[in-house]
Amino acid sequence: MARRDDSGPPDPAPSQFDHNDPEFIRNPHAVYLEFQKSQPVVHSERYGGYWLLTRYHDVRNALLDWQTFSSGTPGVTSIPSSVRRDFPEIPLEVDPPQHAKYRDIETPWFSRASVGKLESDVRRIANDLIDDFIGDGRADVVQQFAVPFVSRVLTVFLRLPEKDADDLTAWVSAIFQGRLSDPEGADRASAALIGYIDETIADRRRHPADDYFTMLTRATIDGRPLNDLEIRGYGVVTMTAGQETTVNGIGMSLWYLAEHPADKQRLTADPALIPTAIEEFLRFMSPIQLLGRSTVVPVEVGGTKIPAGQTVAMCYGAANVDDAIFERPEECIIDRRPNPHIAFGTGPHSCIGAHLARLEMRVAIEEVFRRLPDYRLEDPTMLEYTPHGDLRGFWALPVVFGDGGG
Amino acid sequence: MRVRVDRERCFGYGRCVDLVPEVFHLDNDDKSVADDTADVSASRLVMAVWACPMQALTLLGDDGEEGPPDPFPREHA
Repeated sequence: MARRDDSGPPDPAPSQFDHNDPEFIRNPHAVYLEFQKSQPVVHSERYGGYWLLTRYHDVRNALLDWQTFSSGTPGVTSIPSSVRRDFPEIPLEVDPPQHAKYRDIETPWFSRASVGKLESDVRRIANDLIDDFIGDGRADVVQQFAVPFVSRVLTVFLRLPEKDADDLTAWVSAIFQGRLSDPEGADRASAALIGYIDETIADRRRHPADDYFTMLTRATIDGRPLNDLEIRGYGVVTMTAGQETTVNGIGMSLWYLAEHPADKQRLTADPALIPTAIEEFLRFMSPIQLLGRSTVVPVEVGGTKIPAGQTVAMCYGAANVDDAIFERPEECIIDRRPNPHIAFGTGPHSCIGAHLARLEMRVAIEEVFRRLPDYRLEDPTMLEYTPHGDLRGFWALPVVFGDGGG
Repeated sequence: MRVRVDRERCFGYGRCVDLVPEVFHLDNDDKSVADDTADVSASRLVMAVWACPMQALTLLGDDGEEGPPDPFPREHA
């Protein structure tokens, strides 16, 4: 935690910057805008030392320059690295050219058309969850809605038994929530998730089904079938990467709309504008604030020399408020166009789940508007953010609606 | 100025459609298709090329391929 005294500057020195500092998590834009002006390439001594790229151009160029900024180490995208894995998540932790071969295998599964077929299921799941609490007049729309919603949608998407969603929720929550406070618990949950994936792979090899894991058992790369460790690598990232991120996207959107009644009213009156607004929510409150890469060779960014072997944070959240790209970057403008945000990254590792995430965010907002039209925050001054700032969102968002249960 | 779409790379993110709807649309396979006849400024085409997450768009000048220049010349003071 950054130490402060009354006479000092309001923010910690860049060398002590910590994206898990609660002050930063509350208001990352202020820090980014300051860094962009004074020191767009930052070095922090935290977590064994890491660099931060904050300008849109620098982040984008680095994401495209995979030869310099590699993803090819297990755990590299997470700062500090929380995992002790000896196998890569696929295709996330694989560099080109092998990366494209791996990614192409699952591209059809994640395509816009494939995801689009899920809409009625996604809507059903949203309504089942709302049914459970609508009579109470209040609900935590993160823990009672977004979290189980995303897990259940994932099971439908991968065509796993929907009853497994509760286990998935528990494991993935423990993996992300335990990263800083309970590493042993995170390790246990990670082992349980891997066990579940390995069992599923073994089962589908014996009993093929029309599902994601069967598709992977039938896929080939370089003229040979994928092996179990590779399929596990796919399974881990597919079952974790889209969970907290999408929960954060939904929670942030619902928070913003509750706090900005005029925008909420406008979207209610003109639902066709919701997809445009979602893009702005993704820009303004990026669920992934930063992701790591590792330098393979020395590189100079904006006049700053970064040696080889360094961890470098790609600050999506900062790039998305860079005033070199966005007019009035500190304002959330729900009909902003053009909006070339990079909340889903760019380059080879651009989020493959973007179509699914957009569908989930849209249906969540539409169904909350329809079923809980007058929802409002129970206490706008009491916000429970994630304890980590790389994946930023709320862990709880209590709202009241109707007569508020009274 | 025209744009070529690499259909193998296109993932249907739709950034180009969002940025320049007069030129781009997604076809039945969710691949971007560029309408060469639409009259839009070169700078907007450049932005679409530049913003494509998959680098699936290439600018074509009269003499063939052109690299995408930076569409956002504004700099920090």
